[in-house]
Amino acid sequence: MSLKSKKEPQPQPQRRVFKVIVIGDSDVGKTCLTYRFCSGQFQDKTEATIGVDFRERMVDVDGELIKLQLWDTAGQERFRKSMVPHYYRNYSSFQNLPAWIEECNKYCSSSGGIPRILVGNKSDLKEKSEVDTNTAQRYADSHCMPLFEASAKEDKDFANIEAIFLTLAHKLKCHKPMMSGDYPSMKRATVLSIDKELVRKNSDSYCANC
Amino acid sequence: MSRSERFLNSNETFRAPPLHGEILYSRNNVCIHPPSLLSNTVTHHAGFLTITANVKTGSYSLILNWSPTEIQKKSLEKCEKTETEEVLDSTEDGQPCIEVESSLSPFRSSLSESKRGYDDEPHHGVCFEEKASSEVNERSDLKQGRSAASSYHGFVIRPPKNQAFAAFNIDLAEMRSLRLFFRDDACMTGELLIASHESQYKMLHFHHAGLDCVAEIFKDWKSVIMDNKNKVKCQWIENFSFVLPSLSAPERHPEEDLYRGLTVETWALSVDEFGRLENKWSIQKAVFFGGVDKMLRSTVWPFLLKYYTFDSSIVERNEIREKKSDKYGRLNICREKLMATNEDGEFWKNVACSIEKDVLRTDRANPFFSGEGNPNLEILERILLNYSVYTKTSYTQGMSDLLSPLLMEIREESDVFWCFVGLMQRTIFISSPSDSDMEKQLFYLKELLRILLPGFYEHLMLCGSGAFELLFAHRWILLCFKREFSESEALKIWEACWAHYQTNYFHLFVCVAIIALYGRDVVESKLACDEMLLHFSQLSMQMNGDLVLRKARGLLHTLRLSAVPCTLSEMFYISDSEHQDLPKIKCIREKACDGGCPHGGTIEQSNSVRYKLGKLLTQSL
Repeated sequence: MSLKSKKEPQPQPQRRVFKVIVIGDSDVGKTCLTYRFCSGQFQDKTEATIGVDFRERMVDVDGELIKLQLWDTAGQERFRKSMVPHYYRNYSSFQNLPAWIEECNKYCSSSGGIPRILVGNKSDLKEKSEVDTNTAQRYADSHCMPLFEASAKEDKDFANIEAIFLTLAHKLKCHKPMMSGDYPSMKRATVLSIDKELVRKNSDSYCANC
Repeated sequence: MSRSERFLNSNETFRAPPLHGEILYSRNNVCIHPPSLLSNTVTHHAGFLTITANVKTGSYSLILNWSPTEIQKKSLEKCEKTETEEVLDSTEDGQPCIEVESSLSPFRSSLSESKRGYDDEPHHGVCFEEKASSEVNERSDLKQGRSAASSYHGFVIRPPKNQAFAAFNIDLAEMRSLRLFFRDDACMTGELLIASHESQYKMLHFHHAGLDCVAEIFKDWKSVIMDNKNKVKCQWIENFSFVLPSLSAPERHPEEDLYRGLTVETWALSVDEFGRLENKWSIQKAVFFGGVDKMLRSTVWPFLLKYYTFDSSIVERNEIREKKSDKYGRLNICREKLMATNEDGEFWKNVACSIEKDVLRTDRANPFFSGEGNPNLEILERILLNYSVYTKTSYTQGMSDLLSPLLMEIREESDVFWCFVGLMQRTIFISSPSDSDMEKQLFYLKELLRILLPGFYEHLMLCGSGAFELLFAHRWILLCFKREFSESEALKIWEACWAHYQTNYFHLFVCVAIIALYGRDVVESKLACDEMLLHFSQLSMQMNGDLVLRKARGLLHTLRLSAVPCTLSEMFYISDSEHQDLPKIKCIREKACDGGCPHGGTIEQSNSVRYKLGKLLTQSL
């Protein structure tokens, strides 16, 4: 639904939708993170996500209104297994993924592959932190992705959480030409995952987000 | 003529097009339910709805404006501020321009009618809703958790600080579809679902009548547009449909409404002097068609979940209970030892860890589990741990959701445990650590769609192979619709499934019923896989469970009447029933059927195949 109708009844260019898939271990706070970003609120109690939930928010990226559609996935692998391949398969088969990433690299020289971001959630629980920032930073660096530490719980951290997704939106915007140029149907495309190894390594309070 | 008939036969007299800016409809107390992160918690936000005509050269549109009652009360400044971002050109000055035309345009009548309605009962509804909302608010604001797709947030650049309940304007000309779901037989109350081209959704709830007037306006509007010579392209008005609260006779199961469900009286009458049930068959039927009285759940569920057999006497049941209780006690001790020792330590540690996480997130909105250190949470956790040890399998997410209603109703820990074991075995889904059970379910569902909803099936084929994973139905199957319907409706569906009447797979018919009733937009708007997922997740907790259940029973009947293809024959075989009631099985000459159909299907000539088979199949015939 559009925010404003045009003055003239001209065909409105379809608003672009960027998809962000959020993955990570169970109970790391994926639902809370996405909910905080989309509604500005923190939810103390949530249910375990089964399958996938959606949350959305409009963002302004360099003057263009873009809908960020967050795919909030289940933490337990069993369901994610069926989810993640499907997400890719919408546009290309899962097997072609490496080739696709390569293609992506070819067009977007600024970054390697599809944008990924690592989020260390629950930063308010400092004393319980199992992963120190340096370790996480090193890991993120070695995989060419920015690291964010944030707390979906802390009100004062809201700006930080916005920064996470806005960064991603900017990164995505730079990837866009290659998507829409080659595959017109992919205007709603993109953003992929982080590898599971990483998620495990970063244990409880880290949630990968791609 | 009944109201629902009127909606179907739209031979109303032609009405002159309204004027630009004319308010066609206005009503207070139209609710929005903000996305809640916990199922079964609904926060009502009442607001004021107006529908305004937007007529310009070459364009006929309707502007739908909703603003929350609370905001209206606040300072006008704030109100305007909230609206500015969203206000449309037709209301440039921040206020809808109200035409005070004195000529009696036909639309005036609907306006005055709705206004009258509003004046008559302004307080009744508003007060009720507001109370409800402020009460629920405090509670559920803390909680909200899950929710599919909040169409909500798509409308604003910044999420509003207080709540995401900002006023909004929608130009219907820019929308993809409009769907009306009536709740009551008089077609007064229900939901209006608006979807945009970008798959954003808004659902407006008419709890206290008014949807009938809205439907009339849309219908009139449709005829205005259809009569317009300049044929403006108007997708929303083409994709405009109703879901009526009742089914037409051919859609209904012929035995619908013959059974009132299992009540305390009927139950008492079915038990003989030894406590044995005399007519298992009629009890199953009663449960299938009408569910179990809430008072009876703790009594009847253990039978449905195979903890007791129907022909056991009270004495026998007490024996079973005692034996099982001992066994459970031993299991519990065993488990405690196992967890304490280091044998397979890592495995059990992981299981315990994921159970602990999920128990804390299960039905916490329900008073039964609320509060810190609630002892019921410990029981929930213990049963899940014991189940894991008992079956020597890991814990799978979703189990806690299936267990919690059993604990709430049956209470006694050992009984609950054994009923849960029965549920896991009987429900087929989720019971095995592999995904093969799920794949089987999805295969059956796919076949059912092919036969019962060929239009939808064709759409899936157009979407490509990914669509056949039926991602949108995974949660339905895994949690048996627990997060799709209100608790009472969901439990009624559970009971209908547990009745094992004519099939062990009734839940799949429920899936088909949901798609049949609420999937029209998917086909008409040609939604892609992910949009489909979004569409159905939008509808969770918004659908009419009673209607879905009726439709599902009707579909089961339809399929049985038309002869079941041999690929689905297993669905109708109920292992421990002496009352086998198998439908006619027809061989559709699958590969496995070469040299005799293993399912016992009879071969028919291809020209007598009554339903649509997949393209491949048709070719091979």
